[in-house]
Amino acid sequence: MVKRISFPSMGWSRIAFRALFEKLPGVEVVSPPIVTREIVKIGAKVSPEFVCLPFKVTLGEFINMIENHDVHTFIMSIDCGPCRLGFYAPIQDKILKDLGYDAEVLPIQQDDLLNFKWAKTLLQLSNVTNPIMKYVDVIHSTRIALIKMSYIADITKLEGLIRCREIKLGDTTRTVDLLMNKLDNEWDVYNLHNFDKVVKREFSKIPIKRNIQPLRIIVTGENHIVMEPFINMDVVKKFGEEGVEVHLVNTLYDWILHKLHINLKRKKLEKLAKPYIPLDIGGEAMWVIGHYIEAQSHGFDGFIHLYPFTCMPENTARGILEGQSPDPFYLPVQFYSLDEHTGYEGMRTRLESFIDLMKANRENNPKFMNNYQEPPEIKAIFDDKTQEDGISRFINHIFTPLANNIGIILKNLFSSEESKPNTREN
Amino acid sequence: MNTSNNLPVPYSSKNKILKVGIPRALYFYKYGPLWVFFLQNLKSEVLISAPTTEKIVATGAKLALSELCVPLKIYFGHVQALIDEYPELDYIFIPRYVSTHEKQYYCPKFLILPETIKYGMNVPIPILTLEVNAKKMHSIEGAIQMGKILGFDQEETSQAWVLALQKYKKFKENMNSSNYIMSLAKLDSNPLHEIKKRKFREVIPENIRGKFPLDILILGHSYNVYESHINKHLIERLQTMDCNVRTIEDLNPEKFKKPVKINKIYEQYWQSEDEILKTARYYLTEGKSEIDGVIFLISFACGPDSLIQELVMRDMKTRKIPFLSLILDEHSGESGVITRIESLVDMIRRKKYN
Repeated sequence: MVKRISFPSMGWSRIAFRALFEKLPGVEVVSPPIVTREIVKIGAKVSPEFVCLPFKVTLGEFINMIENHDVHTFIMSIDCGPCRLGFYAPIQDKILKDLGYDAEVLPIQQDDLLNFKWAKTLLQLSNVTNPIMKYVDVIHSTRIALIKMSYIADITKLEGLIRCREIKLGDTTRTVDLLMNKLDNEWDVYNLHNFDKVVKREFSKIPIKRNIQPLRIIVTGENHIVMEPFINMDVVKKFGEEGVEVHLVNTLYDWILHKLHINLKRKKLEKLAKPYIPLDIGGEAMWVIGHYIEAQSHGFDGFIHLYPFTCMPENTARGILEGQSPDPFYLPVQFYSLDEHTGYEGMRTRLESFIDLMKANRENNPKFMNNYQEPPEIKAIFDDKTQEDGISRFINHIFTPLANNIGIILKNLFSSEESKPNTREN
Repeated sequence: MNTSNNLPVPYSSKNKILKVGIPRALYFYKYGPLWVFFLQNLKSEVLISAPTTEKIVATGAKLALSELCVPLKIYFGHVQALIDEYPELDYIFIPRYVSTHEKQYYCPKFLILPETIKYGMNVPIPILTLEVNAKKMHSIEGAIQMGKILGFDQEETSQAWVLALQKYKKFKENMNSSNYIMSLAKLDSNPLHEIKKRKFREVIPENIRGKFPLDILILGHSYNVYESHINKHLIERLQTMDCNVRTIEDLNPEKFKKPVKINKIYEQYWQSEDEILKTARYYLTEGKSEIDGVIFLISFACGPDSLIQELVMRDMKTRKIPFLSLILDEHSGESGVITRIESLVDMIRRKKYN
């Protein structure tokens, strides 16, 4: 029997989630559609009153999938942390059943990926009877999912950096859509390993303005909110169109690496944030503070913190960021507390005034003057036009320098006796 | 860095008695006696902030972030009240409750309560922290760390902690819903802070008073149930309506031993919600006939309660037990609460005695 399953989309992360389940035998994956206002409305209607926004959005997505796509099994990640995430699956399951739907929510444990509790859900879904062959599928699909995740992270990062430089409005958005589509339909492991060349080639086609010094901001906050463009009013795109270079630090790949305990970047940030938040309190609170402190020395002009209304960890982080007077490290910071009623027009006013503030800082405050550094990714994509394969790399990096060296030595050897008298005369 | 980091740290010595202030909010309503006994055993003078007033709530709401829950806002107000009332304090005692069970956590707001206060409002007095973290260490180690700051050695502190625990246990045995507020008030020796008994208008006519009694269960955190300012004297008001009030503290401790599993497979990991769920479980199964209705007290923007309330409500619905969830915030008026509980009590009474 083939089981039709689905999952919450969380922006582009749906590509990685699809990859995780697509190759399992006995499973038919239905990729969730893009979140719309209707979906959020349905979710908010049946959810508890002041639960956080991701709960409402994911529940709305589930109901939409049941009614319009005939899917009755859903995957939802759970946690054992102090935050509300661990209760999402049981309560959504309960609400769906109380509404009269024949649906189940399967949990996938993500509190520590090294204890391999998450693999249990995958093994349970697969209909292969041989216990060893079961593992083969799981390992294969996990590998593809991890590779795809890393490219999603690369593309979303480049998107924020390039959009402020594009000459024709909309080029970056089009390129990103094209690349994500290609990535979603690419299942060959060899091609996936070489996908970075495709990414580079597609982005290098965009005509851009070099030699400009745009404002730079960090966008961070709660993972689901930052990664889901409909929910955060596509703040990355809006800032990019206003000519601001956006550094998006939250990606699924980053989070998975952290859960595998090999994310050194996050470990460094934890150290920075230690006097303010001494232990992990769920959400992204610790790393938000870490990014805020780190951004001081990296020439940033602003800091955006996105979080769902009433989120417990992010709220306490905001209290700590905001409450200090005088602020020991001054960096303009703007908070967006989002819920299902948030509209774009209210946000735009705040966003534009924030950009004006940063511009004024650039002109008048010595702390923000002349510390712009161009991100190395831009140089890597747009300056390096030569295509390097094995032979050209050999010629460029080994043969040519060697030939030059030999030439210089030979020249010196033959010209040494003739040049000596000249130098003496001078 | 913050100014409070560089403050000189006072030590206790033979001729100096340390003055330690405790804000009367949040888990003071649960672990307050323990802290008071422990600090008294460490030869310090314990000063407790005044009972919550309108002014304290207003200052708290001003100081704290607007999206935080009401009890935490009140905590900010109590810390400010302590500083204003006793400017000569040596320390303010703010505990860090991480977990008292290996697999469980308290709400994230308790995990970094000292930092929230330290960086959220500029406190001119050093903060004394007691860390309770069963994931990392035994509770006595946290106590020893605190004793070291006050200038006591390991032996003295551990003795003080054990004695305090014994005294707390005895204290807790005698407490039930009817005398909880008064016995907590006895910990405060300041005569200005005495809680006056308020007289409430009798709602039931004299000729039928006591003839149609009801049993109402009040669920909720201790800092909501026993904080009479924020819940508008809910317990006393229910008593004037001929209701016998039961709370979590009235239940036999035997009932709290078996762990709760949600939907049979999910772990329950919130410490603060554990008691609520266990009490709800008892009254849904064995003790169903002991109660007539349930009131769940929730503070607005409380994270754990927003989900637990949904679980409890749906279970109560299937068992057909009348259920009211009262959401409290700093703006909620007295008459709004009264109308809602009156209508609940009337409805239950009509159903039961008809």
